[in-house]
Amino acid sequence: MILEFKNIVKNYNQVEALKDISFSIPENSIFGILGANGSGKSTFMKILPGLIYDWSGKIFYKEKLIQKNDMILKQEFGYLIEAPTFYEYLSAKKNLEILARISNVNSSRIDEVLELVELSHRSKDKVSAYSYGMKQRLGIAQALLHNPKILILDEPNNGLDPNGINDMIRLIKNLKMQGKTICLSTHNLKDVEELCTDFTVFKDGYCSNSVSLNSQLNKSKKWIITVKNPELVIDKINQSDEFSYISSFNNNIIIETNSKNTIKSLNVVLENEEIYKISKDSNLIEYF
Amino acid sequence: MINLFYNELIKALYKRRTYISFILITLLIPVVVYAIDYGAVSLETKIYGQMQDSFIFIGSIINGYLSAYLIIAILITHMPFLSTIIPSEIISGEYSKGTFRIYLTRAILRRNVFISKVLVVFLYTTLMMFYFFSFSLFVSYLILGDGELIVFHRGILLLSEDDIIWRFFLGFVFSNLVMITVSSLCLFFSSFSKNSVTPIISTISIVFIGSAISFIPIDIFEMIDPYLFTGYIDIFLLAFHYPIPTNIFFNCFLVCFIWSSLFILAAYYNFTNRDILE
Repeated sequence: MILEFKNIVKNYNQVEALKDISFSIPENSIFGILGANGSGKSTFMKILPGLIYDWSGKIFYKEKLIQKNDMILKQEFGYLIEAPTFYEYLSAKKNLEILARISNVNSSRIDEVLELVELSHRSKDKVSAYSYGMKQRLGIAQALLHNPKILILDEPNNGLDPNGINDMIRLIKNLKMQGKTICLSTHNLKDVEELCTDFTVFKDGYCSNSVSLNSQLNKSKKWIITVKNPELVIDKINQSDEFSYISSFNNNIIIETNSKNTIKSLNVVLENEEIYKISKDSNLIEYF
Repeated sequence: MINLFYNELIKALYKRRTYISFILITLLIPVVVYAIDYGAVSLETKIYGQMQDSFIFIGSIINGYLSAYLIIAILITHMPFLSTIIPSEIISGEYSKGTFRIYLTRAILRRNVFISKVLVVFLYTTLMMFYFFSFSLFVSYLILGDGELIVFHRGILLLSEDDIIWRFFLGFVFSNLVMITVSSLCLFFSSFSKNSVTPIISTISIVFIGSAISFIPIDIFEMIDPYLFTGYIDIFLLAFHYPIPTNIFFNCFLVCFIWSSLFILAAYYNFTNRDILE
């Protein structure tokens, strides 16, 4: 594991935003943090670069305990937190120059990352003239500027049109192929299915165990899903040909399936239902 | 650190609002100087007043130095407003626009980012004040020429040509010190605020209240006035007294230094400990 989080807690005055977050991220994975709006994804992602100052817990990077606000979390990590924000009165290139100057990066790297995100032809335009998708790509460019080992992307597909989403997916997969580890947050199950090799689910300040989509999920037939309205979901499962209902506990439902692409099929069957968590039978004991 | 400072300079230089104060000064001062030139006779009559009964005046007292003296004396009370333009936005602007979310994820210390911002604020205030003083002198000299400067301090004080420029410089140094204190106050508000308007309004309100305390002749106000930096906004005028009231200049330095330090330290604490949520 390249990155491990243990018992991360963050309170905003009386509100517990992160209650107990513990999971780990494998090297060279595309790790998804799935969760509804307000589940604590962005708060969690702001902890790593020190944007959020006051929190508790432990972070291990390459199995070494990292001190709070350690520079290594900035030197070897690239971030795109929430919506991409730039100095809009400056050009894309000028924005990157500002960041390059404090990242000890030479100017040729600016052209490289602009080329990578396909913005070279608009590099001298003011950012205020950019579309949201272009700003998002520029956000990726700034995160890649110092050639980080790990990329932390907060809802990179958010606000993008279908073409923009396809470009972003292509870009992220390309970065994985270059050996980078990517951790992205999303509230969209489809993003996890299409992009991620591993994922966890955030809900109400807690998270599930990490689940590997490549190995673990596709071998098993039993699944556990956590939903908002279990009764409605059980009805839909019973009506479906692909899934069999086995049992339920509180908001958790155990189902069985022979589907090769369970998440996609679940997404279709449970359309409009709020799904909090998806896990495999190997996690059942721990889960309950 | 140099790179951070350079970045802050770039950010400030590319913003239009940075130039507002310089444009205002550039437009206003020639107009005032021309107005002084145009109304010289009337102005002289007002200055002479009843003194014409006791003295015979030969030549004109209206010259570049008097013009610059009058312009600075009148406009200096408005300079706190201009000195808030950059500090009001330098921290709050980055909060509100969310640019800290990118800038502060780089391998830099918040402490150094803060220092670079403070340096840019001080530089901006100093440049603006220097431009205000030098441009007033330059335009006044260009249009009205030189001569002796007549000021009112314990009667009439006539200052010879070689006794004037250093007094303007002294006035600049201490007026700048007061404006830096105003900028520091604005920076303090900027570190708490999520928009750039609140720091301006808060700062100007405090300057207004402080000035009111200085002008209202009540015992308790007169007692606390020496400890308020707002009481020294017109310290420029004291540079043209004879002898120079060094104790007041020393007090001004001390008061401004202490207030500036307090504002900067409070802003620093808030900036380095604040969660960047926006």
